[in-house]
Amino acid sequence: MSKAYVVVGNGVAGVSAALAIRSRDARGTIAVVSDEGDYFFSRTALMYAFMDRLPRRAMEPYERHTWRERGVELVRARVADLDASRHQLTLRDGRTLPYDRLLLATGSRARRIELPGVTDDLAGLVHFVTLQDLDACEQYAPTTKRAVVVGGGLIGIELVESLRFHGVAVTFLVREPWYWPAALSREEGEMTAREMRRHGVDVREGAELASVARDASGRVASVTTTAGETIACEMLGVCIGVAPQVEWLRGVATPPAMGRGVKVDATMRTTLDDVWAAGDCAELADGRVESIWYSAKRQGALAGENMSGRPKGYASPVFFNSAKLFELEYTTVGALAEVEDGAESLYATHPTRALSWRIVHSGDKVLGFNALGSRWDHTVITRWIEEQRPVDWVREHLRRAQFDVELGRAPLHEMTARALPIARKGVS
Amino acid sequence: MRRVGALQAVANDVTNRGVSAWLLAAVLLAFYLGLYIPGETARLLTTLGGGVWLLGVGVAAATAAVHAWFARRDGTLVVRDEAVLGAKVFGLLMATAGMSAWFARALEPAVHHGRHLLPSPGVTWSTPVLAALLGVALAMGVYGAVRVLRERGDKGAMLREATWVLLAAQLATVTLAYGTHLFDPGSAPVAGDHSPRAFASLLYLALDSKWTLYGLLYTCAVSAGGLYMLGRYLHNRYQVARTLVVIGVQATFGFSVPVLLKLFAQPQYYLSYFWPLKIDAFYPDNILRDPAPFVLWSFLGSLLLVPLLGIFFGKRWYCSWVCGCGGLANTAGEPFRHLSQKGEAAWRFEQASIYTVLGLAIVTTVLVALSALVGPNSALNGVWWSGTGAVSQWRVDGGLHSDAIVTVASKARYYYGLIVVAVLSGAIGVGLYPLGGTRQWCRNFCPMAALLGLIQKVGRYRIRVKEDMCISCGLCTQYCEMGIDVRAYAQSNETFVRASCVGCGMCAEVCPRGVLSLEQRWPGRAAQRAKPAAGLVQLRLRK
Ligand SMILES: Cc1cc2nc3c(=O)[nH]c(=O)nc-3n(C[C@H](O)[C@H](O)[C@H](O)COP(=O)(O)OP(=O)(O)OC[C@H]3O[C@@H](n4cnc5c(N)ncnc54)[C@H](O)[C@@H]3O)c2cc1C
Ligand code: SF4
Ligand code: SF4
Repeated sequence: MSKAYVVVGNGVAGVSAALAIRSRDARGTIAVVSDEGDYFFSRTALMYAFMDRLPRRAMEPYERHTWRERGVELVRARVADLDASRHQLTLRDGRTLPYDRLLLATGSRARRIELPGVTDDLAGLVHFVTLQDLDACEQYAPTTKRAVVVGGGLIGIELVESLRFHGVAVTFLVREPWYWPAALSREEGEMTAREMRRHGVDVREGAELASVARDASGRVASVTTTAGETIACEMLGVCIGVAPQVEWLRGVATPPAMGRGVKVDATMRTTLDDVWAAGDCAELADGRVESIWYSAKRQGALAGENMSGRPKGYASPVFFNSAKLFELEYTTVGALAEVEDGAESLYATHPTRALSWRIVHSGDKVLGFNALGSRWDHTVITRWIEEQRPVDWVREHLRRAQFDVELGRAPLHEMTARALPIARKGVS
Repeated sequence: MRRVGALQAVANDVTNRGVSAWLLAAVLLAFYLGLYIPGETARLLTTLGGGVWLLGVGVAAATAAVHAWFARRDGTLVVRDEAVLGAKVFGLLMATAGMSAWFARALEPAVHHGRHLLPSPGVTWSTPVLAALLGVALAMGVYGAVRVLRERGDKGAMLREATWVLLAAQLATVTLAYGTHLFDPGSAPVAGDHSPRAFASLLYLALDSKWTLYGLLYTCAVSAGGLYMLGRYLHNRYQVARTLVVIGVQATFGFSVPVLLKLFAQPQYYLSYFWPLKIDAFYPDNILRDPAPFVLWSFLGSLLLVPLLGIFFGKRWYCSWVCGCGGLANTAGEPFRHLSQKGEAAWRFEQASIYTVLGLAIVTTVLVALSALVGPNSALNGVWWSGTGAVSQWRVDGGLHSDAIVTVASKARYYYGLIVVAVLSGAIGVGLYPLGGTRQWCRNFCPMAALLGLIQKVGRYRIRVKEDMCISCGLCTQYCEMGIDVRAYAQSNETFVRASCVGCGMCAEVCPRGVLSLEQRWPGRAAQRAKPAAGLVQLRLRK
């Protein structure tokens, strides 16, 4: 008998699972239920859509006829209830959906800020996670002279860059002493802040929001910082991180075990029979929630394989990531902030260009690598870390890991390195 | 969205395929039809008469119907959108028909009709206009020179700014050549006269053709667009180098060298084009007419240089660094690159059409060569062995009618020139920039691209994909002028080479995660090492 697979959430985790299931099970029915949009889209492309660099349709990684051809049914609805004892979902519109195997891939939602004056009906208040957030941004930007963006991470800087593109003046409030201490050293954070200032952003490190005032029409009029400064603005962007979108699961007929997210074992199975979870909403056995794209993709595919009968375990890879901070390319591999005591950095900069690399090491052992302003092949550095190449060797052979455009290699030989202590996050 | 001025609003409308884009496309289409095939265009319009309306309605309805069929398949059919599309196509056709008649008249060679509708030698513009234009050229030159000096030390930036000076020189030349009697000798130059005045009068003659005017405009467009490119991608050395070379090749081999050749009473040879793009390089009558060094260059280039460099560097060495068609696309056409048709239907069309044209090019060349061999006026008559005798024998015995071959060959030659060269490379190739992106010709029709693409598939060039780093944002696909779904490869960790890829490097430039890198290396270890991505598998793309 053919199986009925149901996936909740059409993000990258859910869709990767559906495709993995289909490649192993040609006959089962697959339904993907999601309420945000009709088709799978790339959340990471949100800023490019906002910046008019992509039409919305181009955010979709697959052509639309793919789903019909692959036999994946798309259901636009919000799931309201889960009854694992009856193998059944209830949608908010009252319909029920039976399943044999279920995947929860509900992703994450933007953290809200709790402050006097801030309610969800505040006009001009935006987050930057969903398509609906994008609608709101596009609605408010043309009538905004100045926006205040709160939050010192990746999503924050993406919103800031998009707003600058639209000619909006932006004040960026970063609570920490420098931008993004979870990933960058003070020097790197300051280099990024210089890049932002070069693009006209008013960056305020160590600044926190205290209250928000609205005008007669109910729109943001100004914000006040904890230092007592009042900044007039028409838009307030809150990008203080994301949290697994699992609150709805606390009230269902049969809730799975949950911590911050839905708890899963190494095969992405939850504590409920025939229910798996993957992506931003899943909490791994060691308590971590990996809310990044690659992890969601891997976990989704893995869950799909497990659901269609091939048991396979998940192992977190050596951490790597990359980003573009305005025009500054950023690559990171391994551990940089949370490292053993006694670890130190070797930090190299260029005399004139915004270019740096940093190797974090403990004695001779390389732990992590950070670079700004040029492109790197993280797979080469990962291999070096795994092969335990000594620091000096890595330093000498760095150019082998360069990934810049042809003719445009970053001039490593013009850079000078010095030792730096590891600055702990939040230490000012 | 953004608060913008009127000029910017029009520019946005053009690059977003708005109404202004359709208008611009009509102007370009009409210009090219009038330029390349004024006679045929005029004849067609006269023949059609009032039927032109009917034809417009028919084509518009058919386009809308096909589009609607695809939209319905995707479940995104909106009847109003299809009606609007039909109306736009109709408008495009009518505007093109109307304007092309005008362009055909305006661009008719002055020598034939003694008319000077466009500024051409012999027209003296009013002094203020001349002074203003020369003033602008001078200002641009000074501005460029100052900027070059300011960038001392940074060679890339110096070269970029030098383009201003080039542009200024071009503007001054056009103004002087077409706006004054400066070069007008008053009488035809006398043979053996080597005075500057005789030289000037030769220049006058050299510029006296719509093709030279066109070459000048083309070079200006490439330089101005190149300036825009350089300003935009100054941080990317690959783009800077490529753009400078493209401008340089156009200004020399694409324009001044042919003009100089004409000055020295040589055939106007474009040394940067090879068979099959320059199909007549292999036509026997040209081979016999043109000086030996040129013929040798064409043969060595087409048969040796092109394939060899193709094996080592992929097609990019030609399509993105040398060729004038690609040059215009990657400079003046740059703002339109994202409009290329994506998706598998477009890919299927491309494969069918480009190899068809390659086939036609080969067949036409062979036919023309044969006809020269066997025709009654065989070019080889008396050159070789007494070939005609043998062939006549052959004709009697084998039933091979040399007369028929000659007729068919001359027809093939004519229609290839009309359809492929004039309509597809000229009118459609450039005219549809604002609607379908910049590489219409290169992607769908160019026989040279077809050939180089096949070579590229077995050569060293490829686009390397950094494992697991792609976030599927889609910028690479959107900005690929060849409509390649780069994302499909990137998100499934697949290092790849597609026949159509011209190696413009823009996918690598726009990728916000630095996933892609153009490289030359034989497939082998690197390919084996890569592990397939988990999730977002590549579903349908064939290699
Ligand atoms: C602006 C932005 C930029 C980012 N950039 C990067 C980056 O550069 N690199 C990187 O690694 N990561 C990035 N991320 C993170 C990355 O996008 C996420 O890790 C990834 O999208 C998670 O995918 P997912 O499938 O788990 O969940 P999601 O993509 O969040 O999909 C979950 C879907 O489920 C739906 N859903 C939830 N509950 C229900 C319900 N009850 N009923 C029906 N549907 C429901 C939601 O509406 C949503 O559509 C970025 C995130 C944002 C917001
Ligand atoms: S794949 Fe990249 S390099 Fe090739 S044509 Fe497309 S954008 Fe240019
Ligand atoms: S631009 Fe880069 S990150 Fe975006 S889809 Fe293409 S390869 Fe992936």
